[in-house]
Amino acid sequence: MGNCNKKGKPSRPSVRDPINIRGDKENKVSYAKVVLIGNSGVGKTSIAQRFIEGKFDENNKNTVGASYFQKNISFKDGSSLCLYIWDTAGGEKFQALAPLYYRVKSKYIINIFQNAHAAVVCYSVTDDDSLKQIDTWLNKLDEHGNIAKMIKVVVGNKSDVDKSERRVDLKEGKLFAQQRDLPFFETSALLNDGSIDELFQKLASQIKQSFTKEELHATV
Amino acid sequence: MHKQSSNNLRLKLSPKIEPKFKQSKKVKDYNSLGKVPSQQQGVKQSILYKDHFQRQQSKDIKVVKLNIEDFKIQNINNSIMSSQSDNNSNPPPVSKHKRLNKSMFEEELQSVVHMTTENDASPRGLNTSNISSQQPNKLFKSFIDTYVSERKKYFKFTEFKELTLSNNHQSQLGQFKQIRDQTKKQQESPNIAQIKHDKKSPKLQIQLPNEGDQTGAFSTIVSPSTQKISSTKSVPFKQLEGSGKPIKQPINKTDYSPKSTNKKFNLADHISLNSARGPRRQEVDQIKIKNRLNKSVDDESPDLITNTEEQTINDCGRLCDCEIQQFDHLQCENAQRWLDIAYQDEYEYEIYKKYYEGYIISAPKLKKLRSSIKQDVERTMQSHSQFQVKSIQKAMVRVLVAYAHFEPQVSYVQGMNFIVAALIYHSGEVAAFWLLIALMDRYKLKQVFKQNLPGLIVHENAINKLGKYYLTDLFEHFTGYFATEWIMSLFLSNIPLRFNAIYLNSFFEKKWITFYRVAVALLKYYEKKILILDDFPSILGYIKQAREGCDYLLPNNMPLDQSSMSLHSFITMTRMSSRSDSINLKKHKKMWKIVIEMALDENIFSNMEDVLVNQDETIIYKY
Repeated sequence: MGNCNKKGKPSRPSVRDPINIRGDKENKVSYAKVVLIGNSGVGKTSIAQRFIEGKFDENNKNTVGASYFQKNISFKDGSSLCLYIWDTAGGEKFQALAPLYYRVKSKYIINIFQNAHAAVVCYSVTDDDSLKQIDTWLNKLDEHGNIAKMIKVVVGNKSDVDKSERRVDLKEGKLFAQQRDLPFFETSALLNDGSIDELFQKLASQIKQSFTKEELHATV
Repeated sequence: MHKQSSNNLRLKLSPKIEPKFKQSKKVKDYNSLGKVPSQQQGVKQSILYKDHFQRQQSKDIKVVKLNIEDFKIQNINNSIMSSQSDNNSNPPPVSKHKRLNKSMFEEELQSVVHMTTENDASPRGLNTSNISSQQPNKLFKSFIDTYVSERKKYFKFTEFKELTLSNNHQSQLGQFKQIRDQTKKQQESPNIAQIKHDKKSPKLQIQLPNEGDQTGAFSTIVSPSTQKISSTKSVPFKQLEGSGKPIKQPINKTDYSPKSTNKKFNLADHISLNSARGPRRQEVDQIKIKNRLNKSVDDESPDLITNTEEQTINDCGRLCDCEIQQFDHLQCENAQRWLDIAYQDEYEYEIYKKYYEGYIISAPKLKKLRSSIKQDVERTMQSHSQFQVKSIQKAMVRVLVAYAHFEPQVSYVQGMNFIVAALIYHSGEVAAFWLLIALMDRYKLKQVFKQNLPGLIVHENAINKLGKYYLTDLFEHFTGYFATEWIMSLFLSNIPLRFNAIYLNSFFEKKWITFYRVAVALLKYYEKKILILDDFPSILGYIKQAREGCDYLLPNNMPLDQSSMSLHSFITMTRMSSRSDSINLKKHKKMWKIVIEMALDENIFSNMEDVLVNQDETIIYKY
């Protein structure tokens, strides 16, 4: 919707203003579904918000259930990819929500992880427990996801904190991701240092490389 | 997984034995009220149980699968038996009390399907029917005094570890198994088995299971002061041996000594870390060192309450601008009404405060739970200046921790923070706690937050059913489980604080039907725009707009035109505008005004209850 199928007009901040989505999306724009997962309070919503709206909101509420963002990413060769970003709740009991289903116009989706092209698994560098929990999240992805070549990325958020507050070193996170053969990023949603843009840019190009155009259709 | 294995157990028992379980539970329930059951009754029970075990053996039935629930039952049985046979010293009242308390939850778990009785919302252990009607207050108060003092006395030294078990018991069970395996290995090599106990700096000492103890259970001793507790732990198992072969039990879970649990958790953490990361011992060691360095004073002495701020109640009363009927009340008129509905004039501030105090003091220092609650409280209603005050945030943490202690089956789930915020806003700390309990028990909100969230699906289905009836076009366009946040926060994360009193008044009176009315009204308001949207995410995103700006500090009767705005509203408006310019607050407020008016108008959606009648599951919630 909105910023996905527009030409020339400035892209709007996502969801707020619904514009008719019906257009020529089948022909020109590819769609990819990205899920943001990780423990509670690691900053998933902040990452999404920084990427979509380019701002940091100190007063973010805790996510209950799931929320949703989307943004268009354009490449150098002129093509573009629309990222549907599902921001999930990190609370423990919300894990039971995975097998829920949705339907829009006879398109069924059984769970949040279904048809996800990529997953951004987040932890907070101030919380070493959230790093340990990444394995459980990865298992969950294997369990519920249905796309075998789903791209997984490990992201350490809150890189802006003082050294005294840090519990997970950059090296530690890198090693952790390396052992699982996953790409690693350290980001800060608070600072506007471009780390999050870089993350999603690389993710988008990775998606484009590994999926064919047919696979990037809008069954979100 | 749980239910299955417990069913297995039940199937293996003969039907004659089944009721005895129930009987024993009643005795336990009695016990937990602070009253000792009559000696004869208890003896009978123990005999029955011995009988039962023998019978089982004679039939050669082996119960192999035992999950945590079953294990607890087992444990309780043991405790009863051990208390009756006077071979050993009785277990200290704390642990007994806790076990029994736990059993109550268990019983409740089984009886959740039934309707609540009228007294359901009254505080736990406060069964008024047991107290003679002539002098209810005196008895009542003296009972509470003893109750609270007892709790203060003992609970300092104990930690209710099982709180966390209810949450992620599966992973922890695995860790426990690993520990058990370790101890078994240590058993084989006796040199390592006994680590000497240093009196000057009490350290973890792993005591191996007693000889002949096949359960694989182990107890840990922290310091001489807690030795009694741990020594009595092994009693149940010895008793079992006397009555025959012990039934296979996974591990001794009821070890309440605080330091040992902490240490154990750390140990378990490292084990799991090791297994997860492969041969990365060096890193693990690094983390260990880091943890040691980062430890605060608080961690060093968990048995002493150093942080008194977390323990003392500072009830500032209501924060809202609603009218007050009586000046001696801390809560506003609306909150008083809710208390009247929920507690039928039984609510007395001082008494209920003492109870609440008891729950706070006895609440264990679960660091993980506390930090996760704190994390969420710090992002609840933060656009409202009153919720930025530290003391209010601490009060919210206290309420949520106390509830997690009160109901370990439910513990804390995200979404509860919004409910507590709304309740504290109108009623102050103590009443908020009791109103939360009333909502959970009487209004069956507990079902929503329980493991696997069973209530959530029921309510989602109800909303879908109502939607299909009232908004046929919309629900032909899309269906799904989209109302998670509405249900988990009872709409209180969506409805502006100014309006939620009207909504809650209706909710306390008419129960969930009010909730459904608001949900349908909101969807009706959004209907035209949702019909334009094509995919579920954007619909979800659109619906999510309703949550934005619920906590803005809008004056009560804020005029909708800018010209006649008061100074107060002007200040708040400027503060708000700095946050987010994309939300049109006036529009938002107007929207909710329309939606709530629509929802509470009985002429619209008039026969909602009739529509819901056919839905069996929702009858549980009495709408």
